[in-house]
Amino acid sequence: MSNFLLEILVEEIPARFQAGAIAEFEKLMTDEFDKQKISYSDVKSFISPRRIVFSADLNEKTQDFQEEKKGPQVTAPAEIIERFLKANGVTRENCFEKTIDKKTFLFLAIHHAAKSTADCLAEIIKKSIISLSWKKSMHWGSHQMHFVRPIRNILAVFAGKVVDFSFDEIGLKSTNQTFGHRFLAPVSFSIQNTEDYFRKLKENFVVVDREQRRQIVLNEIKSIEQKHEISVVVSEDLMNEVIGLVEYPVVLMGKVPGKFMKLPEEAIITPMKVHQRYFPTRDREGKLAPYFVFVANNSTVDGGKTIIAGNERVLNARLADALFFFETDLQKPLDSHLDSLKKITFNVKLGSVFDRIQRVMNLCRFAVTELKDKNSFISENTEALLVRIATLAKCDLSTSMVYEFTELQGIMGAHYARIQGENPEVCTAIREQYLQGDELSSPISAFYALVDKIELITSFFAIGKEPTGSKDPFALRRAAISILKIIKKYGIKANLEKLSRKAFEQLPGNNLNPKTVERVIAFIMERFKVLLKDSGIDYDIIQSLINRNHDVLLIYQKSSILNEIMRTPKGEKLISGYKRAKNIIVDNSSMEVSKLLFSEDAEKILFDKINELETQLSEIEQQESDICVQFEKELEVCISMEEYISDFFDKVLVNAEDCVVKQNRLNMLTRLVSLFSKVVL
Amino acid sequence: MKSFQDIIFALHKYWGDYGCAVLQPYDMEVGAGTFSPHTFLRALGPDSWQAAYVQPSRRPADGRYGENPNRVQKHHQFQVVIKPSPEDIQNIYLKSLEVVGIDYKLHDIRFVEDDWESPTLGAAGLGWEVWCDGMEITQFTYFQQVGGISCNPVMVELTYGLERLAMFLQSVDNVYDLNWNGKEGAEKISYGDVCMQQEVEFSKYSFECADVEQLNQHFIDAEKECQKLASQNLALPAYDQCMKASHLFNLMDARGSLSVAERVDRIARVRALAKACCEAQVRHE
Repeated sequence: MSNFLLEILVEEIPARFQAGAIAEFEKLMTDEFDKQKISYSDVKSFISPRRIVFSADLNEKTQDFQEEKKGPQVTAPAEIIERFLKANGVTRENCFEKTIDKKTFLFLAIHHAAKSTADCLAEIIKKSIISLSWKKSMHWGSHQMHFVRPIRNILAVFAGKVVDFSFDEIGLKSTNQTFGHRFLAPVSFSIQNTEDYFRKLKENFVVVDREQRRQIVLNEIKSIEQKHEISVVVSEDLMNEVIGLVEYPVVLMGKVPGKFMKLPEEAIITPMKVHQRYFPTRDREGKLAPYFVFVANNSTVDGGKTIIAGNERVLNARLADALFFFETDLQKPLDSHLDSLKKITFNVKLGSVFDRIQRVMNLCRFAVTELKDKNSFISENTEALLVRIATLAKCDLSTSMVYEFTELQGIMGAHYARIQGENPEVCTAIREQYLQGDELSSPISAFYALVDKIELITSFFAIGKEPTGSKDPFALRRAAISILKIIKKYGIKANLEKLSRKAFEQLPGNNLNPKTVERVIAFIMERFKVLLKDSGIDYDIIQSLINRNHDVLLIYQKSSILNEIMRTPKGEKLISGYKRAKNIIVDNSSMEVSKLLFSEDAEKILFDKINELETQLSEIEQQESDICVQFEKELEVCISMEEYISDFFDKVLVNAEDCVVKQNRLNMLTRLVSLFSKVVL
Repeated sequence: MKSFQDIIFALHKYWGDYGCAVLQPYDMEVGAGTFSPHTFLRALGPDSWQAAYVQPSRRPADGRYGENPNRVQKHHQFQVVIKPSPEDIQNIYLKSLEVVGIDYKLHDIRFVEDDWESPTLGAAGLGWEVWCDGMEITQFTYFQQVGGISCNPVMVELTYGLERLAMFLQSVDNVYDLNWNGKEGAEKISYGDVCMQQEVEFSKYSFECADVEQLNQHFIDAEKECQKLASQNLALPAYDQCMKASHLFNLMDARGSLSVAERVDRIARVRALAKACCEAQVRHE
């Protein structure tokens, strides 16, 4: 075994691609080794912003191996056989015959002799580099090849020698040289092997191992936390990006001037994280602390002083902007933005944002009247609350702060509402309106989001903007899922059809799709099926429940009851018996049964039990007012049928020779199936 | 300390010595150095090209009446374009930063992914924002496509934001305090002395006074003229009209007279013009 080392030196690779790229590159290389029968061990691969590194111990020689190459059938026309022989440069005598599935083929035994690994490496390297896939790639100079960024050097050594090749596609020749850190050691040096490489890289300020860089950053963060009694808020995403931006991580800390700390937290955190890639910090009580932590790529002679000052200035400029916007926004009440929303087009056919607010507000009023009897969380002041929420919810869209930091929509609105003394429920609903359904924290907030989203889906469907395939520019699928999750979380009893109908009726224009409401409900139900299926509920159960009605809450409740029962051994048997019956009756619809035609005990008993079941079911229906309790009881009596059904199928042959007897049995099963179907399936 | 003009002199000298043709700003309103035909149209076709120039760039919507310390409606870009992109371009670029006074023993330079796309020009490239101590000082882009046409060979474009770079080098927090001519006391001319009036008046013009209907008519005229000239293969005159249309669009946008949908429509129309100009240019070659 000899050491092999490859380093591709690239101009800065975007951080987000690095982890995936190195995993793929390692696989490409080892797959090639497998293919060429080069045995390998101790495979290592690393990535830094500028380097893709692969190292392994390889056998000096490839293993010789025997290949059996399949040719045409012996009975094939002569010219086809001739072509095969010619293509392989052999004669008929070199081949042997082998029979597979009663057909005899010509086979050729090819011996691949062992080769020197060194001779194979150039091709393997080039092929792996060319095959490496990137989400976004480019070409440069006058070269045609695509790669994530320009490749500037290829270091390849095997057994202490350069793997000599020229890579004409990018105008490079392989070397045994590489470079150190861009600023701390911009010199070139030669490399013997992997060990040598790591030693020299370390001397030249490059930490090529991503995980090692992560560890360095985490350790330094820990010591900063201890020293300043703060905790650094480290999110996985940001950390992954940061360690993909540096070859030599130096963790530094900057300060935020006190005057900016009166800004809402999010307005400080967003520029820190999103624009500057800084980690925010919190004090012991969890409050945002006036420090930020960041990772530089240079260890400077002044211990980072200049770098910190520069970064502080950049952040200060951004925060000064934010503070200016914040204070400007506060000079006007939130409501006053309604006027400017008249000028912002929501959609050419659907009017301005202001128009939409009016529609949502109307729909809120309608929904309160519609739902108040069935939902206990709706009280006397609910309507007023919802109208207030609808009035204010979109106002922050025309504030300077949200214009500048779009990701703060909802959040800033909630802050401004709180500052002007709105009801906390109103603030919560404004803040949470863009969240996913199960993240909403109060029934009022959920109720508003539900109405808002029904209006959204209905209006886009009405103008023919339904999502298609992967295209869903208005995120209507997300909205539908949100509706479903809201209903589940807060047990909201709502007739979506009625809400959508009302939403549809108040839309402007006359070119609307007349089938909108049906399409909206079908769309939401489609999402519902996926959602239920993902939560592990049997598909047949989902299908049957949704086909019966569109009461989302009821379906949720029923499906969970059903799912539980149907997973018991008895339940499973019942389902299989039911399915068997359903398959036998095909499209038989008659349910006339004559007792006189029975000959077997099992069928007589089953018939009696069917009659009993019918009585029990209608009793339950009359006596039970709670629809869920009713459902549970109905299921129970259905389950009790299981032994009689099994017994019937064990002992009775439905397809009797006498077609009258057969028909009688079919009719009985049809009756059974129809009773079951009424309950559930 | 380098004055605003010293920075420009230094960059002119550096890139001139490198072999770039040092050009004068294009004599029309443009949104960025990229818009200049010295960059945009030169990115097409097989011929090599290297040029460097300052381009005053207008973004009416960024006007702040001279009140914001970091934002102006007309800023200065220093633009370098080289085709085909040289093998050692990152280092060549980094040396230019040293020339203007950035000492790598003290600062932190980073190349942060930033793929550039101009919807109005139908142009796209891959590259980075170059950060110095957390401040973006240069946009570094390998052009991949212009006017919907693939670039081959590839041109590299370096765009230095001169105000930012100067603020950084002079340690100034307000753009208007920048020292323009390098003198002190009574002889000093600041950025504010040069630009304040234009910032105040053009902000007022863009946001309050510009006659929307007239702008719209000019837009329609420029569009028509551009199409006509492009069909006659007069790439450069056609492209002048395209730049005009683009600037008029920016003005209408700043004035807030375009709805979201109209905005999308206008962008598409300017892009169609840019494309027609590129096609005329390619037919030339």
